[in-house]
Amino acid sequence: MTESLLEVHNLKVHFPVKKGIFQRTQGFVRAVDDVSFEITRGETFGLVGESGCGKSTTGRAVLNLIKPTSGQVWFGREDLATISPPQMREKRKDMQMVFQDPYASLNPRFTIEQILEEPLKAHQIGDSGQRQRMIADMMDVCGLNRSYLKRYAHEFSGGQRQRICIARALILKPQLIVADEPVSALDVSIQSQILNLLQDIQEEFGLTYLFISHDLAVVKHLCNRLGVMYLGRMAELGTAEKIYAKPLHPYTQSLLSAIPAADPRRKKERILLRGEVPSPSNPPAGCAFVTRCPKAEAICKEVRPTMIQLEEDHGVACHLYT
Amino acid sequence: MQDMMLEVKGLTVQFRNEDKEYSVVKGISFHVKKGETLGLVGESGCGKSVTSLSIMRLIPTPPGKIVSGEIRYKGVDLLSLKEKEMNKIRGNEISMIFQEPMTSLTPVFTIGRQLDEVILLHTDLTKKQAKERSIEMLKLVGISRAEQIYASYPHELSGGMRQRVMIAIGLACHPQMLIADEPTTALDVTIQAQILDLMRELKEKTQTAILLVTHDLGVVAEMCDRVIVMYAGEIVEEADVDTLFHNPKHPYTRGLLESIPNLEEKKRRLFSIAGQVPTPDTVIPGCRFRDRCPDAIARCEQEHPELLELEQSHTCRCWLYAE
Repeated sequence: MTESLLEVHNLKVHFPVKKGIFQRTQGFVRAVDDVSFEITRGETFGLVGESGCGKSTTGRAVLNLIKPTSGQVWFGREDLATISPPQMREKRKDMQMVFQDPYASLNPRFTIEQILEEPLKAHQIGDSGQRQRMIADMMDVCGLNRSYLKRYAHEFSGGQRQRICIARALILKPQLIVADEPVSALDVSIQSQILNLLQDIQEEFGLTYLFISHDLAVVKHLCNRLGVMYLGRMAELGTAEKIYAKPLHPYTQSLLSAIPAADPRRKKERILLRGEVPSPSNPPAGCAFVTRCPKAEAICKEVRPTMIQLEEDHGVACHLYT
Repeated sequence: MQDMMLEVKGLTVQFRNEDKEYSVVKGISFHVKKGETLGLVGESGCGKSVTSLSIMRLIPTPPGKIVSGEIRYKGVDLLSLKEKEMNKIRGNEISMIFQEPMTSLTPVFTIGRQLDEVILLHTDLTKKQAKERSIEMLKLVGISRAEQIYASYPHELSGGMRQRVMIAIGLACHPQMLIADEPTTALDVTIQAQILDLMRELKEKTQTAILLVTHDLGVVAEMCDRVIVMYAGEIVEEADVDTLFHNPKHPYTRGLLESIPNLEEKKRRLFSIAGQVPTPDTVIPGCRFRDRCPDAIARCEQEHPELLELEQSHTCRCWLYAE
């Protein structure tokens, strides 16, 4: 059971910065800059990092919602970066997305029934009666009352809406779900309901998740493996167990130390970072983290570190370990 | 008491929607002492932001209205002050840090002008002195290129920087009471750690009393001396921070604490509180948490529980603890 479902090799997504009356390209924002990882079938892979680090862009590039500038995204046996649009359309059945903001990602003019039927129609699955049954089943799975069918999204709370989004993603029976901050807009008591739902449906349908989040406690709870991103690059990659027990990259270390513990008796030793995150359109020449790193050396300013495997399933991109 | 900074007694705030009137905050009472940090915790819609806005008298009227209660700042009832007198206190003695660093600054003025405005309004400083003070404040909140930032517009700054500017504005007149409404919610964890550190430092230096409104229990555990838990417009539990985290009484508080994923231990499943927060306009007789409560008893359905004092400075609104 170590077949990988998704392999991302040297993914780059650069957005051009255009200026002047002729809209000439002045430079590039390197939102994702040479990122590689793979996800095994049935596992939950977490992608963590702070805002602007490129984790959402990576998630979208994986689903081909943004065309990668270069690199490959292997889903099963196909490279999504090169397949034709009709083939891609067919592939989309197998890969779905749950977005962060359940308020903005549901069409306000559609009833719940229409929202859930749309993906089935788009892929011409079943006749009207079969679709009705599939929708009803899916609502049961996601803990939505069947009487909600004719209601509109605005009648629901954030947690309910996120359930609708999950039902919509799940109705095509995908293999991979990319969940981009699915619980960060929700209250604590609702957040745990949705996390439990995500775990339940993963077991029931054998799903694989790419779980994008900035909340390290949630990621630890849910994920088997994870990647820590900083400024468009992968800083550390490995199993959740190893990264949380022994973070290697100075960025991961400070990130973990910065989370406030929900226990007043536990006083944590903080690694406070100084300075600001550099702009991704003008990243430092060497390591992206060099401007804030408490352990930076001369080499970090000049040479960009590569990912080195220190042990099985735990790699880090940092000069301290070379 | 000499060091009592803020006392709220029986505060009730109503909002009007079409023809319905409903209370968003229902008779809550609490106090904050000098040098103390009080946490106000609850989920969205529980009335915590309305409470903090009421103290500043910033509730938009209509639709909102403070219908009863007292808010005393150093013994003076803020609700009976004239608008002019209130303006002298607001931003000067009591100041507030808002949740949204993206929208709480005016986009058309420079950071410097917005900082100067507060200082010029409340002090006798000249423009030049005000600028000096502004730059000093920016440095204090850890902004490195203060002179440059002084001349920039809000859109040129990142979220973390803008929040720090907000804090600089909040602290510019050395307030004795600071109300921070979700000051770090929009920020990344590493920036959040910096801001919390800064607030703690200020508290130690100037003995500022802080009312910290948040839904993040981690932030509460780290920052607060005492905590109030609100649910559906009411205080359901109040205790010192250690008691609240280690001996919580109200089923809602216990549920909240159990439902957060934790870095130290790995649970297979998270505890979750069933159901949802009731909207403010639903009329619930008896206990407002009853429908979601795993321990509800018959009495909860009929009678509304009062706040019971369990031990000294530990109160809880729940029938389970009534004799």
